Amino acid sequence: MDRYLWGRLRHQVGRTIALLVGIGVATASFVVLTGAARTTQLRTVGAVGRSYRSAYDILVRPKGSVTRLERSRGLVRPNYLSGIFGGISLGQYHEIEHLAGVEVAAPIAMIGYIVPRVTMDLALPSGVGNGQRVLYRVDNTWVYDRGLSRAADASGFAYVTRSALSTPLEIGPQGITTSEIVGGRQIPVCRYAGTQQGTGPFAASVRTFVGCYSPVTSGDQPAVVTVWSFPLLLAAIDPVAEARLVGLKKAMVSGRYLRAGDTLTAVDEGGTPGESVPVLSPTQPYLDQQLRQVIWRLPASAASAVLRAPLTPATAQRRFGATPGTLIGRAAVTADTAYRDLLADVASANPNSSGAGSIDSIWTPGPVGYAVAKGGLLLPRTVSNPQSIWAGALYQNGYLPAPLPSDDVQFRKLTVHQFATRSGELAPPVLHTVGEFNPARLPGFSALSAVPLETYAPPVAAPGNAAAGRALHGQDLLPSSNLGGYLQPPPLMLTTLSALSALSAHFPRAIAAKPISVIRIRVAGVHGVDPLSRARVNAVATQIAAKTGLSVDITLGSSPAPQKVLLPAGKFGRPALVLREDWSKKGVAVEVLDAVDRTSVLLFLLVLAVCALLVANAASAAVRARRTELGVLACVGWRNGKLFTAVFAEVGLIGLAASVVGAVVALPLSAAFGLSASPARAAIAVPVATVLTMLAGIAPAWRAARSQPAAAVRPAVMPSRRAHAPRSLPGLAVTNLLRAPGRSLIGALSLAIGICALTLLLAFTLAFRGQVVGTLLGDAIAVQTRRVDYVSAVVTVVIGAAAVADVLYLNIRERVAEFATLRAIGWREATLGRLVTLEGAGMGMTGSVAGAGSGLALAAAFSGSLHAGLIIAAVLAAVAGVVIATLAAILPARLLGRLAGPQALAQE
Amino acid sequence: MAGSKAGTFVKITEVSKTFPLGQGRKLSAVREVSLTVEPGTVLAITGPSGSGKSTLLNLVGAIDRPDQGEIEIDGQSLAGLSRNQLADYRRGIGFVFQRYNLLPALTALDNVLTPVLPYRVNYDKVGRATELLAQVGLAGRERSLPALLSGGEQQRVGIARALIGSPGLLLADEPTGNLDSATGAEIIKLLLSLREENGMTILIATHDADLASTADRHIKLHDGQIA
Repeated sequence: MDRYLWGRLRHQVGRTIALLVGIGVATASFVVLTGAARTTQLRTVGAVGRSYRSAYDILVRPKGSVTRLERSRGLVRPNYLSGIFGGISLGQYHEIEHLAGVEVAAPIAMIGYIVPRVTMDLALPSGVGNGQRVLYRVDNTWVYDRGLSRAADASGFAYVTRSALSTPLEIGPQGITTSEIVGGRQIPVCRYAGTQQGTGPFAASVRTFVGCYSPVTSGDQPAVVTVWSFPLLLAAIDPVAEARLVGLKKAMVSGRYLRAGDTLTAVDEGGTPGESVPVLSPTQPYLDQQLRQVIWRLPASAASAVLRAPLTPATAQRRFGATPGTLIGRAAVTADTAYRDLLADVASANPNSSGAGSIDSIWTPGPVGYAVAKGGLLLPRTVSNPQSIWAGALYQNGYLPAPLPSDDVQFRKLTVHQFATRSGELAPPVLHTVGEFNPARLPGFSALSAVPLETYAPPVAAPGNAAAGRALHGQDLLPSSNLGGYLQPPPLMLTTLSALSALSAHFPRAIAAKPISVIRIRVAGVHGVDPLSRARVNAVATQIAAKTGLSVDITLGSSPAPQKVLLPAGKFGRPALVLREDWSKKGVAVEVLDAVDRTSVLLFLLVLAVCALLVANAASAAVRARRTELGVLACVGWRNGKLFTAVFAEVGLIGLAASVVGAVVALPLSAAFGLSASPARAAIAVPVATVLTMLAGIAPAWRAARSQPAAAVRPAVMPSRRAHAPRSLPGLAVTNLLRAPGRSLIGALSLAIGICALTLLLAFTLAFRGQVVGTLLGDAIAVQTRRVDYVSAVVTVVIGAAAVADVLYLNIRERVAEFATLRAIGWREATLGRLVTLEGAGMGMTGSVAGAGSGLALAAAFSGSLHAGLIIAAVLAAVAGVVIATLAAILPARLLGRLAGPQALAQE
Repeated sequence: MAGSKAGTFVKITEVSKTFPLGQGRKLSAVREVSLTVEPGTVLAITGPSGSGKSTLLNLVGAIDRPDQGEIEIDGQSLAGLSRNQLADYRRGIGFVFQRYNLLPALTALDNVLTPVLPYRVNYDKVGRATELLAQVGLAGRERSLPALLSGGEQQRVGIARALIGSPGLLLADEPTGNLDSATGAEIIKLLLSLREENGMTILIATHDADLASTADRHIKLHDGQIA
């Protein structure tokens, strides 16, 4: 047996090599192409909650910006923008906006908090009553958190006298001093102190207002001045995309809408050159904050004490802060009122004169960290920020006038970025409101209670239990001016990406090279949360993740997923509260996986199938060609089992050798084409290809085992099952194909598989711009074409064509006597060649039509429709198949002359 | 090709043919054979196996080319003909094979038609093939597959196929070699009757002494040479 096997392999070199090459090519192709199939893929997780569609379908965030909590719970936090300051480049944005299927891609580049300031005057009575002089004290309390937090700020003091006052316009060692003229003497009564280093931004000594007034000297109404600082999140947008996505333009109430080209404009800021930043301002700041003021007239002794020692910010609070007095009146200023004043200041001719709207610093808060308590209760972690974040060299006390609520408990790390200019001669940029918009007018705003994914929605934290309900009087908790507070207002002060680029020169650390924080995407052709729409969204999301590596969340079909949060007690009276936040449960959650692309898998299975057919055909032919030999072995007494083993072992040995060679060749081949094929995968391919070959060899080996001794002395003419009556060359070609229907079918099927794949890919390219989504058997699927898919399809077609050529070659080998006879009776060489070519074309046409038809049906099933593009693709693929098969027939046709010589006449 | 009624129809001049046997060895199948055959003659070529009978017939039938020497048929040398002209020549003569060499998937009728199947002819192909089958005694068997015919019947189909082009020259290589003696005798009878009807020149390679005795002329080959 061994001698027989070895002899066969050695002396039947031609057939052995043909089989080796076939299996080797199949193995190498499989290894190379499966190596190229590894790709990132998004896996859909979870089911659609409610039939809800927000303004956008996909939320793209920088890689790593999705918190662990979001990942673990499959949620998107309500204030998803918070803590994300850049991470997506403009290049990535442009790549995304041009992806197929993207209807609108609207970026938001969070720049950070700016804290514009506005001064509010509280008028006091101008008279002094019966006395000579009077001292007023105004107690300031900041009330927020629905009244639960009451932060007592430093008081304001106003000294009013009947005597004349004198304020020399010179700054002495102790600052500016106002003196009262009493009996010709100048007695200092107000001293506006100089720098109070080291006292911090929240110390009363630097927050106290003192003022001295005299109706004799000026007509100024006595007043106490309070500084309001508004933390406003400044963000850059693409105005066009924003208008299309959320209808921002329709929410305008005054001025004009932003233009994409709006950028910094040179302005004169009181003699110093500066730049203005074009912004859209909201009509309201969405802050729950109030300044409550109580006006006291202090006793006459207190006023007299001022003559002994002047009022100074550093001492007034200590000296008179607790002095009982007569209640004169109360006042309250809401954030909305102060904000309107701010807008008026910004709009004034010289906004920098009051410091309003000046962007001298930008603060960027980080995200909130959570611990998770038993039962899933979220525990936000508190953080502390150093007072240095409020440092401001330009201010008299060394600190910016920080909003007092920022002295409360904080949950976000703050980073400050100071204005920087290269020349040092440029003033900090100032805000320039080109128009105002009312966020409440944004379409879809009313749906916020359902899914809090809208960009300009104020965050909502509702009472999470009865105690919180009572404390908050059933109201929601809203943001205050605490920059590091738990609740962060949405971005409301909006500028353009052009202005952002210009602004980055002054805030290089705040505005990074990748300035965009998030991109919200609306996908074309999405009408709800039906499977087709979901598949379309999924296809776009997959593309984005694969091309950019960014974090992608599908928000289509999101539904509220209330989360309980235990907010620790505040510093100014707010008790610990259990709050309920409406996080968003992603309807179709996606995960980026290192997976094998679905389309590619399908194509590689097709490659595998074609390879299997090739191997089966080769093995079958090897046995069929040896019919006489096997008959002789049967004649000399070989049993069926031995015959089976002989053939099976031979096929198996060739399969093993070929698969090893194919796997080894695949590695450098992959490297040459820039594809990744791991040695492990190549190693796996060896047993797979060997087993495949052996499986393919079972049928021929079984046939061999049934060889009859009579086969050795077979009749001259092999029986045919049915008669054919061809009267033309094409007819004879068809007859010949039908003589070995199984083999012809293998050739046609091999080609059909490749043509089917090619039709699908062409259909996706021609009809669906490279990708298609649709339903197949009720399951939404998405397919996108990649270069490697085309390589696979082409390889499949080429292997299919090789199978056609192999079938023709085998046919010629077996019918060599017939060809010799036809030549002997006068057929020209060209006619014989045409006959073979026609047989190839016939096989090609059968395979191509079947393949293109199947591809067309599949593409129609994928897309749910059948249109001209698909049909064109199918026709193109079919034509290509016929041409390729016809070309493949040329080689065997050319071999005719060598094979069908005169000696062949005696073979049959 | 119609045979001339006078002069030489087949002229073979010092024709040789060798086949490589591998390792530099050669087999001289035909060695400097010269021969002339008059039109309408039935020539029997006899000799033992390997004597060169079939090779000589293949050379005359332009199925193979001689290494040297010249073959003229009806005054036309085969040496200068192109491949296509040789094919046309083959279609103009008839060739009967020992193993019949029928196409197993085709009916008897279609097998008869094969020489002219891909070519235009100026006669009714099917009608003529049917006539020929009737002429060789196979009327009514037109739609039979070769596998369903006896050896003698298959050879009759082979003869009918050889006659489809109304040849002037018929070459028969061991036409009775695969047949029993009775059937072989019938085939011989048929060939002779065809010669009578069509006036063909017939070259028959055979080792059958009875067949050879019925020929007009008889030559014997031995080791590739006329003995």
